[in-house]
Amino acid sequence: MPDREHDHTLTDDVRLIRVLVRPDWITNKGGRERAASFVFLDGLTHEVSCYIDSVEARDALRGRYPNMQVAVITVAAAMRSGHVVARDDDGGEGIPGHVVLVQVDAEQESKDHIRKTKQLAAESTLEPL
Amino acid sequence: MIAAVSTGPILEKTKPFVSQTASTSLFASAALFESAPWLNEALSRVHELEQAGQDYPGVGDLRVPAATGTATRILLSNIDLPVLPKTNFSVASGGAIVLSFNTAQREAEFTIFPSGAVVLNLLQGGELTNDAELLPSDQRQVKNAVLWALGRL
Repeated sequence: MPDREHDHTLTDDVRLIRVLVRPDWITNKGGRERAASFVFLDGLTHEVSCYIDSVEARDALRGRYPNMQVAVITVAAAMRSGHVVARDDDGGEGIPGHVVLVQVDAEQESKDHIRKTKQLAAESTLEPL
Repeated sequence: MIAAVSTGPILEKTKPFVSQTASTSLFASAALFESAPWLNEALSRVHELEQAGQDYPGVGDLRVPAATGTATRILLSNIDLPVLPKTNFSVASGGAIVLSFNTAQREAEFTIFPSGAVVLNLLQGGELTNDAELLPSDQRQVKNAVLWALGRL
């Protein structure tokens, strides 16, 4: 896994989207739908794919994953929960704006790691793709 | 309702067989299925997750590695209880299995990584009350977490 560095050109309010590819990636807490607590977790690479929100990215993602919803977070939320947001143009399967979230404040696979993952999911909102 | 269920007689009945035969693993397995009738269905769910996992290009690889499945089976085999709370299985990117046991107010959630590491979260009313790092073979912690979700601890 390459070392990832936060892209400081991304301002706090930049929106990031993650496609919710399974029904159980959506949960309902207190009457509000949001991403399940583990949506921003990767158990193997520990890098989570997201896209900078744009018309182009959504069009491309819709073509591949029709009728899905996306979890929306901001760069600021990702950073608050201990993640860096690194650009990864090669990893997006040709879809523009691919970034990876990498947890850097907590040891991988630790309880702190899970806490921060949950924190980020709790801050997400849902939108149709 | 839960308190009325007892495993005592079943365990007493199976113990002599386990201690008197050379082929202990087979009898131990049979005893486990007898004392935990939900286990067969739970193991089937793990098998389904292993078979149905997909790679979602540009999103994440949700195929479940054999190591995650094995760790999950070990964890499940350590819950020798006759009844369970509602059980949910989910898969995260990178093939981690998220296994949760829910009652109305309490939830015990295990995140099982392909490395075999497990993180346990205990939630009450949706709020995290305790968490721990453990191994799938940590029988006491695994069982106690499920008992807690059942309101018996």
